[in-house]
Amino acid sequence: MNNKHLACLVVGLLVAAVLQWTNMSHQKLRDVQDLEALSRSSYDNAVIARVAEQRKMVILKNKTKNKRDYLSEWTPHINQIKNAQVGEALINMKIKESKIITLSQVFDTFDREKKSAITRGLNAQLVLEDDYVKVFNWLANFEASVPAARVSSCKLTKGQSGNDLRMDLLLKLPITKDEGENKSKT
Amino acid sequence: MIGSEKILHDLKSERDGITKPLPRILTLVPIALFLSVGAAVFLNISFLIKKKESEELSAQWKLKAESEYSEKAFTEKQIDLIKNQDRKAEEIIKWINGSKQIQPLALCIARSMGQKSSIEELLLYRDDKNPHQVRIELKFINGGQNQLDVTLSAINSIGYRAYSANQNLAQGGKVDYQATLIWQDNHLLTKELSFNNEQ
Repeated sequence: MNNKHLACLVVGLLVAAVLQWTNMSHQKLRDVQDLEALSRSSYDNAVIARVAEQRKMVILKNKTKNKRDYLSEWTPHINQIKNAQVGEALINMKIKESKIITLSQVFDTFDREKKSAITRGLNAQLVLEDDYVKVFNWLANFEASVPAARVSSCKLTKGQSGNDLRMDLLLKLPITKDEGENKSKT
Repeated sequence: MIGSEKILHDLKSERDGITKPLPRILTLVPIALFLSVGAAVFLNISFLIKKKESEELSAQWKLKAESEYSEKAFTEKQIDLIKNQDRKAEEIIKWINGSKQIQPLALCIARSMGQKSSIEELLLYRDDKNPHQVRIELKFINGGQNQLDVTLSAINSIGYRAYSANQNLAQGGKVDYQATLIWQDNHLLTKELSFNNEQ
């Protein structure tokens, strides 16, 4: 091999090196393009997942619309009694307003499941005795003014005099936010 | 000077061992070098531009994907909220269903009594497990079966039906009646909020 051969070989190697450099650059470009395709595919998957979730939400919204509307209509009534004291005061106020004779009244609270929408309640045991009409009107007015109140038990018997009626009532009032208790806890 | 040049020329030896020229085809090698260098520069520049474009696009897709994922996460939270509301609504519906006003029922029973009949005791109560059912215990004197029929039809007229009834008719028209009353309008979700006997 003489110098001319050697020079030719060197030039050939240079050509090969240039080609290799170009090939490597092309390979890098392909890697980046693959990464881009991957990112796009990831975006497409994200869009599909988001659309599916939104569709699920729309279906759920439509399915539960009536119940949620019902809830929003009733929420003010359910939240009417903030704590036991308010409940007691409300009952006493209603009794005083109608000037009905109260033989006894006992209040106590009861707990329900913690995860429940109504976690606490107020039990009110009342014994009222007054005119037949007055007693019935009182009950009607009370049930209308506190629609979420539940009459657990209502026992009607004759009163001591003529037109009188004795009513033994057990009322349950839902307490949704016991603010007094929360304050004492904090 | 002329003399020294002559001397140097004289010192040169004869070159008889000159190498053979390369094959003519190999003259393409330097041409190939020039072409490949030119093409490589052009291609590498175009690759670089495309690479940058791809990188920018890739970053954009990633940003968009992140935005989609965050929107999905937000939607999931919304779904959880709706589910919670739904669960809460069901509990409230149960409570309200078990809190139907009892005064109209008591009043209707009282009003159904004839002039001769008289209620001794009327007990209406709800079981904690089934508050939508109202248990009735009615004791009245005079009137007997006829009065009981009148009272039951009055109860039916306001939407209650009696189940598991048990009655004792004693002498003198005294009646001891027990039953479970169930409200027949089971459409818990009325479009409008209804109270008492507005339904």
